[in-house]
Amino acid sequence: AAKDGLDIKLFYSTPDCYLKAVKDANATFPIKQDDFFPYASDSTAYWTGYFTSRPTTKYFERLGNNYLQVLKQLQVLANLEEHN
Amino acid sequence: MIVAVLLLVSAVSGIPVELPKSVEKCGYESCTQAEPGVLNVHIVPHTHDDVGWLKTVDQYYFGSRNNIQKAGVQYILDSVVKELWQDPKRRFIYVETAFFWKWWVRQGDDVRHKVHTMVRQGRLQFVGGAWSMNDEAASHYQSTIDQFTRGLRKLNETFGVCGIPRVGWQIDPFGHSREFASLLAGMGYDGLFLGRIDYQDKRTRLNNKEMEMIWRGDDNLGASSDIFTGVLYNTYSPPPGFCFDVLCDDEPIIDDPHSPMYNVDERVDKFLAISKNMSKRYRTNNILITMGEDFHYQDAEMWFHNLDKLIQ
Repeated sequence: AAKDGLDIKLFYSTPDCYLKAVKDANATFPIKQDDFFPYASDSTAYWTGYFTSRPTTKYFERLGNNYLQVLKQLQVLANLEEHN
Repeated sequence: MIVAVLLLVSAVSGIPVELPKSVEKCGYESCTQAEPGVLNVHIVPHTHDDVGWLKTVDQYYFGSRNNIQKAGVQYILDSVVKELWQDPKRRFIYVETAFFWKWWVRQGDDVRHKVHTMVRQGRLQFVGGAWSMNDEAASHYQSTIDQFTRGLRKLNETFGVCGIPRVGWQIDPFGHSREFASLLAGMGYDGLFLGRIDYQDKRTRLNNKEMEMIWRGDDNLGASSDIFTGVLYNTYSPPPGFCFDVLCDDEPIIDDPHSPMYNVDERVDKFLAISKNMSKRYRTNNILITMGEDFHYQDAEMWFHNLDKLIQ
């Protein structure tokens, strides 16, 4: 009741529905063709340390990814059943 | 007519509503229509659930070691489902399929049936929908695809077409890669929302109404790698003063006119001021207000109770 007569409408929504409303509005938007790196939250905080932090874990993950791709291919070649 | 009667009955008796299947709609068709000529404020309840951070995945799921961080995802999903079921107008989005799946396999038929119903009606929507909200700096594109495939497959097997996320939700990664935008576009997503961009970039975008853009993910792929990208106003937090989680201590909305604590007028005015201010930074007459934070909604009732009043 407090918002009667005001040009505003509040309602439960989702990002999908927001996107739909924005598309329906037919606005024009700028184009972006590069990335959003580096990220800085203020002038003295550039979040670039994590590009190299925990190098061993990073290495293990890449190695694990290699093994995973090999296993997936072998699984298909050998016609093994899926375990998911 | 039948629907109206059902709603009435439920309002009187407190029995949750189940819409007849013929009127069920998910995805874009389930949306509350924005009104032309007015400012449309999209209230988006959400919880940001890191798949491991200060605690392990299992500690976060079960809510153990709460002395480290007060967080238990099982309680979040339990209580959100209960609260969503109470009122068909309410909405909730869920992002991390790793947690959702851990929870889903532990539910009985009754809860599963309710969740199915609400997903079919667009009341519970999955956004992102990958196994986790992945990093965009140190990850290999192949692993990104693998973890998307895993999350999306679970959702698709469980809910079919209504479980398919339409937008990406990268609200916490520290910077964003162009390749990720290209992958999302390639996977058929229609949009992408970001929380963290460089503070100077953000300032400029706010000033120039460039918070939303079309991001071309790949020069070689061209238009097929275009994806609508929106930067959220307040990272992914609620506006200051409007955090109604058990983890927050903002004032609730007190609508009893006989109480000395009555504050509806003041709270509503403040919220409208925030909304109007925010809308100056965006091009359409729509704004998206994120209502949630890290591991919020463990007691969803508190959030929804206050949001109901705010919307009223």
